[in-house]
Amino acid sequence: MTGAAILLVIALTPAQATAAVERPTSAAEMQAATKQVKRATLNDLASLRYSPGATQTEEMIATGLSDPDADVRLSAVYALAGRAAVGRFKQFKSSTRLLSVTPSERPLLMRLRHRVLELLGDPSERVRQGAVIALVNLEYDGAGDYNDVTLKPDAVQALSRQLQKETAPAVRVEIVKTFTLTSLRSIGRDDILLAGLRDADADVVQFSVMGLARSKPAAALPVIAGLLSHPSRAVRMQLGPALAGYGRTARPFLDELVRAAATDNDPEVRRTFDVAIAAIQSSSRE
Amino acid sequence: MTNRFRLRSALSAVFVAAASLHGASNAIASGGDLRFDVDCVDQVSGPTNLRAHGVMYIGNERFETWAEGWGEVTIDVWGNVAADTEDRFVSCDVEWFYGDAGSWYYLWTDSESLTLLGSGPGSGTLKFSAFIPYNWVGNPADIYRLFAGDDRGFAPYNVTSRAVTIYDIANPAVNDFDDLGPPYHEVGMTEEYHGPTSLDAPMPFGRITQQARDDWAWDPPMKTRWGTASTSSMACYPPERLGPTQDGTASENRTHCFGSASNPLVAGAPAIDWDLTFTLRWGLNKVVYTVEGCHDGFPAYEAYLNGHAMFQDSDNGDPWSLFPPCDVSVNQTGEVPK
Repeated sequence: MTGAAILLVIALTPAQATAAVERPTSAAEMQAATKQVKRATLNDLASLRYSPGATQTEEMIATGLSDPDADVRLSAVYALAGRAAVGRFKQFKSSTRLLSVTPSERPLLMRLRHRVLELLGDPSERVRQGAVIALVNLEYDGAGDYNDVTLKPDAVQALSRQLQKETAPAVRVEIVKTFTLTSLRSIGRDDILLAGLRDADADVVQFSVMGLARSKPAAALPVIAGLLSHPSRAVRMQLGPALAGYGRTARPFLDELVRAAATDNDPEVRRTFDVAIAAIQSSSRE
Repeated sequence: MTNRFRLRSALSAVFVAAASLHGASNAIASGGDLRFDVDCVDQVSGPTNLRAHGVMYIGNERFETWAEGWGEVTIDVWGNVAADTEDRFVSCDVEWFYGDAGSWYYLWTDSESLTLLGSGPGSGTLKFSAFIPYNWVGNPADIYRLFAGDDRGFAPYNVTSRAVTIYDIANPAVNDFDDLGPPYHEVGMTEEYHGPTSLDAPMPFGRITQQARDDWAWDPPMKTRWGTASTSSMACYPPERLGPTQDGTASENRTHCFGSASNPLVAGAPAIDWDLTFTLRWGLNKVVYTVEGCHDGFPAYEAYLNGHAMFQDSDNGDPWSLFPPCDVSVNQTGEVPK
């Protein structure tokens, strides 16, 4: 008798070719390129691996931002974000690649700002999220701290409008995070974050608490104190420092904070509450 | 044996034939979309009446057949069984008789056996992580601030990560369900420190001190802020059943996981991105995997199936590579034993 063996042949897929592609050097070449080449070029622009002249860079990104393919538009918004971030992330100033980005590039990139505002309403969720990131990096004026980005009124308006109708959680969070971390001078910032405290999305609540802890509007204090038993650990981790920041004004909420510090099931959250209690008590004695 | 018979030939075989496909909704006792046909064939020739009685066991399932004729008789004991995670012993015994004067007389018994290999584990835990291997990384925007890293090498268990997805995928060969529950997504809390007061040596050297890690007050000295990135962009599609392979030895399914997560403490920070498709072939006591897709060049990325590495990609040391979305290709094939 013969038992037939069972044979298994593993089909090995050849490794994806990563051959270098010839990069376009102008908007016309960009437009004529394949999707793969467009994306590779824009990705290289984003990571500063490719730095043609300022004009060519601006033109190629502009072409990408208007491409009918969402993947290309996505690469284009990140190319714009990456190039615009050069002035913001100063620690890399010694990098050869950063030095390859000429100072004349940024004013040209600013010409694409109106297109970025339009892309906040792009059909693709990822492009919308990328547009928020690109906008923040474009708005940085090079004067202050890296998060000291004052959003211009039209940007605030566009972001607020998009936030009201936005259904994608990732984009909503990105917009709220932008208001949280950027300049306190942006018009309407606190109102947007106050509304965020009551949002159903815990990420939005977390960033709203974080942002209001910086500006400390009186109206936010009772709402923040009311979140002490919020189910999200990320939210609760922000409450202690936020309440502590209010100093003696937070004194009426001290009992609730003490109760929360005794009952919260997360040791790190309890620790942040304890630190806040000490800070509020200390400021009350001053 | 008597000399009244002269056997012209005796040929026997046990073999596993093609598998048959059952849809996921076709609820059968042991589930799954992979089944095996097992045949035990035996043949005897002789100038008389012949009778065969075949019994085959596949594991504890019994199959029985009779055959009878004059001159040349072939018996085919056939069994069809669902795939199982365990190896099963297959035995086949064929008893031969000859007929004479209205009675049957025993001739001999042919026996054969084989092992029907298990179809891999009942499920596989797919774990994908993105992590910062260093104790800390500089804040690209502020030379006095730094972010804590995960401070580790590649490891499947008991480690922290910047982002992690864990998904328990069911073996489609043996299960009617596709997963053991929804995928689990988590991000590690991002902690920012004031470099000059948080390290045990002057920047850019040193490690974050325990005192700094235990500091839960905002602003300098030591830990300055913390926040948790959103998991809202992290997802895996439920596994898609691709059915049994052409050779009938295994069954395949495929899941697509993607996501992004950005530093929650830096406005306009580019996200770490990944977009990976895992194709799993379950059979012959192993899982053959193919991972295709992409991730960013920073930080480090790793993926495991039941603790076995599918890929481990070091970071390129360049946080700027976070800007291009998902620009490092992944194409890995290998196998994980049961």
